[in-house]
Amino acid sequence: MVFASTLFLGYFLPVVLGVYYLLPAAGRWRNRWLLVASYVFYGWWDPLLLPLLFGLTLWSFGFAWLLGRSDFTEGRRKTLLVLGVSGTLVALFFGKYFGFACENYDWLAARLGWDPAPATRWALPLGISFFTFHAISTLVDVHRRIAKPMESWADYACYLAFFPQLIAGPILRFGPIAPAFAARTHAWSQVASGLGLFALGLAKKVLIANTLAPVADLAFNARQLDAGLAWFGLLAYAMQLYYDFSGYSDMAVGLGRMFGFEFPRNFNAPYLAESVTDFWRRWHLSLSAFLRDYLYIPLGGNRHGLARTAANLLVVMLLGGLWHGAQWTYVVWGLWHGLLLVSERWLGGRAWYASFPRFFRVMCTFGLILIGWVFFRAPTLGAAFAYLRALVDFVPAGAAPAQWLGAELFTAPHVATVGVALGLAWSRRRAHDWSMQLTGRRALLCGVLLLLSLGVLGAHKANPFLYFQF
Amino acid sequence: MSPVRSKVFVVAAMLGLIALPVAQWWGDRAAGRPAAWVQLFERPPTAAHLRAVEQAWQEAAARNAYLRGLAAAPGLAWLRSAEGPVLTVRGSVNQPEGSWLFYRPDVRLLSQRPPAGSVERAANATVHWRDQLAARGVRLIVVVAPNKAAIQRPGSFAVEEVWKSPELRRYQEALTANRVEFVDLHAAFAAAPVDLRRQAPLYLPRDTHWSKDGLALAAAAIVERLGWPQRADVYRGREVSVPHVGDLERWLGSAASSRQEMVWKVTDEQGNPPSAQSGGAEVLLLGDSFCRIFEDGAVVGGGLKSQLAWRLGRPVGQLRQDGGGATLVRQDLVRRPEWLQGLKVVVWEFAERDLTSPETEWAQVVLPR
Repeated sequence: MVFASTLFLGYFLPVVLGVYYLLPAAGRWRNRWLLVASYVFYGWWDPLLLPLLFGLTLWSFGFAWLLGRSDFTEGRRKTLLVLGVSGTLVALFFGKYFGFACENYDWLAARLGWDPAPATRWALPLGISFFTFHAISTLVDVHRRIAKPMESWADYACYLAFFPQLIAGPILRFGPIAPAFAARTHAWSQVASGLGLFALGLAKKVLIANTLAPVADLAFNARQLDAGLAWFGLLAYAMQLYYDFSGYSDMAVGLGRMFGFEFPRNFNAPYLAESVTDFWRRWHLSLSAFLRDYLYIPLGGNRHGLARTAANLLVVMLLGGLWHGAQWTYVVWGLWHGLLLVSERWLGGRAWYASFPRFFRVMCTFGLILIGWVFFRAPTLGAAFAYLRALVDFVPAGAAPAQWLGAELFTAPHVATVGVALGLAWSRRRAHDWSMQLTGRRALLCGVLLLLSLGVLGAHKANPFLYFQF
Repeated sequence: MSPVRSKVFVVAAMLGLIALPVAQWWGDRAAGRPAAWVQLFERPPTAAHLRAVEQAWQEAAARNAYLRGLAAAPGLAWLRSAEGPVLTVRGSVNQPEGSWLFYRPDVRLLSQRPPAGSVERAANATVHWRDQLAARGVRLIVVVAPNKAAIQRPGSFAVEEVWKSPELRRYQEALTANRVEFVDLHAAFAAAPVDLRRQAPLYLPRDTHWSKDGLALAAAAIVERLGWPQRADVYRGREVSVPHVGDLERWLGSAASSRQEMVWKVTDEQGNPPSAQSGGAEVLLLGDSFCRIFEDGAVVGGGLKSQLAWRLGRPVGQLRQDGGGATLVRQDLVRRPEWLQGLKVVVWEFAERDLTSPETEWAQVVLPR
């Protein structure tokens, strides 16, 4: 089930929200209802995936409980942490990377004359990248004594499976969010603010990202491109990805607010970044924070000299790339960002264009990010390099494939949507903050956007979110 | 916002959402259909069943009057005009009378990289089909009807350059290597007189198919490949203007209006279009909707079958399956073996899109003994 579907909007959400507020606030009835709803939400993809989620919940709950015991020595606690995290990572590896490992083994085996790997492959369990990270966050935070393990298994299961963030985040750190599962307040203004943010996120997804999706798809699968077509396709993809993912995050945060939770913001106008370092303080904030606190700092962070800092940055960005998908294109995307971050660190934490006027700093950063998106979107490394070549091919392609691609891409709705998307991305307005101060007019606008999005959804057949594949 | 206003906003928004299933239920009830949610409990909740239910609900939502009302909001239709099965391209200096329409999947076959493997399947099925016919003493001539977008280009719409896809080249090479007879209509269109290519469109502006002039070029190329003597004295041909509503125009739905199109109408001495009965035709045309145009509906006797008959001076039989030129029409011949009696030549036409469309089945069809 996806948020941007008539099934979710017309049936699931009203029922879950209605029953939630009919249940008594005292006791844990509401958490249990959210747990049931979350399992229905997840099981809707494939009920056979539920044992994986359930098993990982038992595993991490058990280890968190052991880590929370006060009579264990530090050495034993560390062993428990390593065991608990390793088990979780094994689930992530087999769920997400086993097929990739087999493909690469087969490639090597074909050259060395070895037997190929067994033909066992399975589909990526949806959301595994997110709920395994939630489990790791639990174990590490309890080990660091930032938080105590939850006493109620049902509360913990609800945290791990909570449907607003289950499939595509934001990644919720156990320490800050755990208290809300024990006690939280509810207010009409909070529900209204959540609903407003949800409507904005839905409009981002349905009205902007979905309109631009065919542009990016056509450009990245084109027979023939020239610079004009390639840049337009790349801009459309950059906007599609941002509005798709930030739209989903807004919907998740909005849903959280409706049920009394305050999730962290996941985006902060990333295309206004003035350096790549700045970009990672604005894009997918929950992942950046997770990688920083649970990987970069334990590796030594920037405390052991420039060379070690550079190595740590490269490792973190490589793994960050691989987290997005089991493909070499994501590895190269991670490496590209790692190298950019290292270069800025080398220059004393500044980009080489730091002395330019602000407009040029933003444009330079945006250009570097766009180059990275080519690897993020292209199906293979070969296709990515071909696309990069097209970006500098300033001789207009005159043959029919490029002419027809142009006729499909440069339509008034596409050009206008890219323009609006760029304008909003470079404006100072943030949906997250805007919805916090909901006024009557803003609520009216949100209501109109909600209905318009619903109208568009009725005409669409499929609406997958890009980040579901991660 | 005050608690009262917040409450009003939340309740109003929720009512807006709940209106969706209520309208759905109301519509189902009025149409005598069971409520959509009932399907959920008809089978065990496997992933396949849940996807089927979800798809059924989505399709039901597309019929939902409430959603259709919302979708008609100003601006949304404009936003969605960049999608849909028909691509509209504005008119030009040469064709100022209106926009040209193109079938979007055809356009994408030109602009997009195709899936791998389909050309090889097509070539194998063609060679197998030729062998089947040859075993019965019947000659096969393969005709690939060019994609309109490969002939009429955006901009001037003059046929300045005909684009032949790498897939079609590969298919043609495979046929040549296996000595299968092939009529290269792309080459025939490209070799047409300059005046014709620049001034008369070879395809209809608001239809997927060829015009009178495109049809004439195609028929001439097929007859030339056939190598039989031409006899212009058996049938009569004259140019007439007929009302025609293009298939793409009809697809757009809104206010489809007919245009006058010129047609080369062929008749016998009694004024009837040429026709052949099964068991009596030496030439049989197998094809898809490219064989239907001007041979069905408002005008009969102006299509490919009649153009061939006019040039050859003998009736031509026809089996036709719209959208099924690749496989369905061959299966049709298997079901009607009486057409094979006395048959000398099969002219097999299918659309260029069938070569690369992932949906096209290229089954190997076996003729009855």
